Amino acid sequence: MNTNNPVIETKSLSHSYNSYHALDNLDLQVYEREIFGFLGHNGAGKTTTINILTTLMQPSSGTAMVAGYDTVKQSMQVRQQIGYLPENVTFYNNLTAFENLSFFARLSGVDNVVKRIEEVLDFLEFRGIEHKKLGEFSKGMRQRIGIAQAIMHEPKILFLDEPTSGLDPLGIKKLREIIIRLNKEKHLTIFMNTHLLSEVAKTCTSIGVLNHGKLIYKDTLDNTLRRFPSEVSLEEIYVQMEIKSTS
Amino acid sequence: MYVMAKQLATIISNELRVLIRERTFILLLGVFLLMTLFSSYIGWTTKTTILAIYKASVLSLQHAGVTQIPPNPFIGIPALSIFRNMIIYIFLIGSLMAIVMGHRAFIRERKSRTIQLIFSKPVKKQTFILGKIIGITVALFSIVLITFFISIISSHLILRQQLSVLETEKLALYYVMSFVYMLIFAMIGLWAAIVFDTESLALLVPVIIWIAVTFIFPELTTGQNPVALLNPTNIAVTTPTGPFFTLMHTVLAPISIEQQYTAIAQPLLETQKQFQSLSLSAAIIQKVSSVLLLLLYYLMAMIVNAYAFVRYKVTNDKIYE
Amino acid sequence: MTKSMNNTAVWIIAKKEYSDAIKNVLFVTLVVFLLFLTAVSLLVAGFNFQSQVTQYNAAISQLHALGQTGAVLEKPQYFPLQMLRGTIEYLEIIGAIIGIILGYISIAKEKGNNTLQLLLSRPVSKSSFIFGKILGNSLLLISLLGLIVFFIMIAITGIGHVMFLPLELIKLFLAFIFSYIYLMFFYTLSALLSLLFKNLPNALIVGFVIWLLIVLVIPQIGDTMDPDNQIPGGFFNSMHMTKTQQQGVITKFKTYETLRNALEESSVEKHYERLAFATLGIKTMYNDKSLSIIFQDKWGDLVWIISYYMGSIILSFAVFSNKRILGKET
Repeated sequence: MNTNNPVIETKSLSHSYNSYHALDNLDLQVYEREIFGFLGHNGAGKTTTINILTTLMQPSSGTAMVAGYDTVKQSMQVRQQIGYLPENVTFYNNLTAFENLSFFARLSGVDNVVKRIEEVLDFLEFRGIEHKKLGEFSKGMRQRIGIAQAIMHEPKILFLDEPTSGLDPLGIKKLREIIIRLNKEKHLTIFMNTHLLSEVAKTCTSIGVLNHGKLIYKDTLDNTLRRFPSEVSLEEIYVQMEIKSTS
Repeated sequence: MYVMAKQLATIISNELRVLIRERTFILLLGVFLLMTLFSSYIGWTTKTTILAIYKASVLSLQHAGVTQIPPNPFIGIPALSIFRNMIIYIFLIGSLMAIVMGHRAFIRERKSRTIQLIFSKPVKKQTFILGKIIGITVALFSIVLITFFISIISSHLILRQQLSVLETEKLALYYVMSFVYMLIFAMIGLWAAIVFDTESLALLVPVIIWIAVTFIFPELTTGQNPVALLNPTNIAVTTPTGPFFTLMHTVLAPISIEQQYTAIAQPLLETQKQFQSLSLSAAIIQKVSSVLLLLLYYLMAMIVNAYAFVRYKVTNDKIYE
Repeated sequence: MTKSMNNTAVWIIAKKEYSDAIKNVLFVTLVVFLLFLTAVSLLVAGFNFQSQVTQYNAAISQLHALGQTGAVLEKPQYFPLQMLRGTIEYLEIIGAIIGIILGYISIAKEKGNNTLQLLLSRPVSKSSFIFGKILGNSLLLISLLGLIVFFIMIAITGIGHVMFLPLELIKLFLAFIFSYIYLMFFYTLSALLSLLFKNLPNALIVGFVIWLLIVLVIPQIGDTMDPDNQIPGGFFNSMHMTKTQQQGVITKFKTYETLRNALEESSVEKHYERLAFATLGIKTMYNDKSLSIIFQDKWGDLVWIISYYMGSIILSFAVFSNKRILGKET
């Protein structure tokens, strides 16, 4: 299917905390312009993977290449190419949306910050809030500021850790639209951790399933649905996989 | 290099912007500045009242037929000594404020998880911690500069006395030393915020260190009770003798930061008449060990912070109230 | 039926407060710190006394060598309760912080977890909640102060080989009660702040600021404004003035003295200190005096500290609401 080169590629990536193996020989490729949904139970190692890929953490062994750069040896170059929204970021409550965004934009080395913030907020259809303090924002509004800071420097790849957690149904719908537009209009590759299967079915183009630090499944969404014709929903496919891998 | 300098400037200005919007910091700053103003007022009202009391006492003694009236013990009180209460406000309020500044600077990033965002940008660890330290330093320096001007202006307006060039220099140097003293505490607050996983513990541990430095060490070396240490006139009282106090003095006096600070602050603020004749360099030379020790502790605090930050792991971060 | 149920609720809450606190790192750290300071202050007091005796003996032998009697010098006398000055001062400073920490954790734990929702969904009234908290923390502070008194007894009778007289024991017990009231005032004050603040750690910082002002700054101002405190040894002494002459002069500066006094009166710490120092004879004019003489002078201070404590309890009732206690940080 994918003839182009992977933008994310890990080779026997492992990580252990003391004796606990959070990640066990992970070999994973994500290709350009994919929306990759990374699934798995709590504690499967999803956040550990995203932490390594975003250079926040160093693996115990193995390598990870992101946008052609090594996450350990070329972490600064990797960071230039990625945008990241961790789970539960609350930002600086006493600063306005504009001040928050301009801080993160400047750290990424964005030139003309004012113009760029306007562009991004226009794209997110999120104007008129620039001079409100983040303390007054709802969870959904914060999440959009989170997306804004992540794309401010025009990265190639966007990492999202449980982006829909804590959002109401309307907030989830808005976020999904934004993710799809970023992929279609801005040609961003998106890597998202989630355990919401309904989200994956509506947003992602390919999926991977992690179980106790091991990748037990990976394919495009279309193939997946074709491969399990008897199952009605992705949820049941997932349950099948989990049962298989533990037995 | 250019990129790093730009990031540094961004982190510093962000630190200052966030700081001045924090209510707890503003509260502490308000108390501190008010006390600075108040210390001149207290100095002035006490001085005038006491001179009046002396005059009344003389009258009362003359009335009783006493002919040999003792000379006015307050004659020739050095002008700078009206600021002597500042020594106490610096080591009580100023250092607590500095602790809160250092504490907030790092706890804030951990609690809001902005630290994870920052390190997903091309920011080096050393740029970040340097930015934090410079940010706190700039903030404290500005505060000290303001208190210096408050002292100068209040001396001019309330006390109607013009400070001489030497006196202004001594006052300025006194505030420089106070600045270093507060910086040490800011670094302790920052360190605890990096190291501890409970927000209240990260605040309490520096407060315990602060209590140890402000009350316990001086008590062990001088035998003075904690509250008595807060009276600026009491500080000169003779210390008890005996092997215990000699031992404590040798061991603890150098690490008792507050005593080193007071040692250099007293001649600079001319708390006693004999200090008035000292020139600026004579005052420093006399207490050069205290000056050097304070600078050394500041340097050590920075190194400890750098070490703590190198060990700090962004992704393992869990923080509780 | 409801009455006995409420009493049970009070007791359950009180027991929980107790067991929660003794498992709390902050609290235990501070308790250990305070016990350490008690030991330090007793040690320093002991060495201080020893140093006075040595200095006295040296002076006497010097006088003897000069062919004079030592009668002009006053022999330092040992009063065990006077050794407690440092301990009382540490209670003023660290004890108050312990009160603040207890008040903070007492409310913070309820706001953080939602355990209280379970409790409030049961028929527990506001008063049994508040009284339960007060009872539990009272028991805690009484245990802590009991421990300190035990420490003092061991240090003074065991190491110093001095027996306490019955009157001294009563005085020690009274000082224990005053300390309890003083510490509980800080507990309720801090619990109040924690109820009022949405961002909990801010309540702790504000608690520290209030503590700084009433425990350290205000009394310090009062002290430095005291005309007699201006030169070591005292101003009036240096003028060789009698007590009546002093008073005659001081009355002429009424406003200044009223201002100074008002400052000191506004601090609960000063009242506690006056009361404790008089009772223990640390203020030498009350040393070895009967309780009736002491209370004739100091009942006002007792009324003050009780009023501060009661006032903060009443305020807690006024401020407390289910919404406040459940209100989490946004």
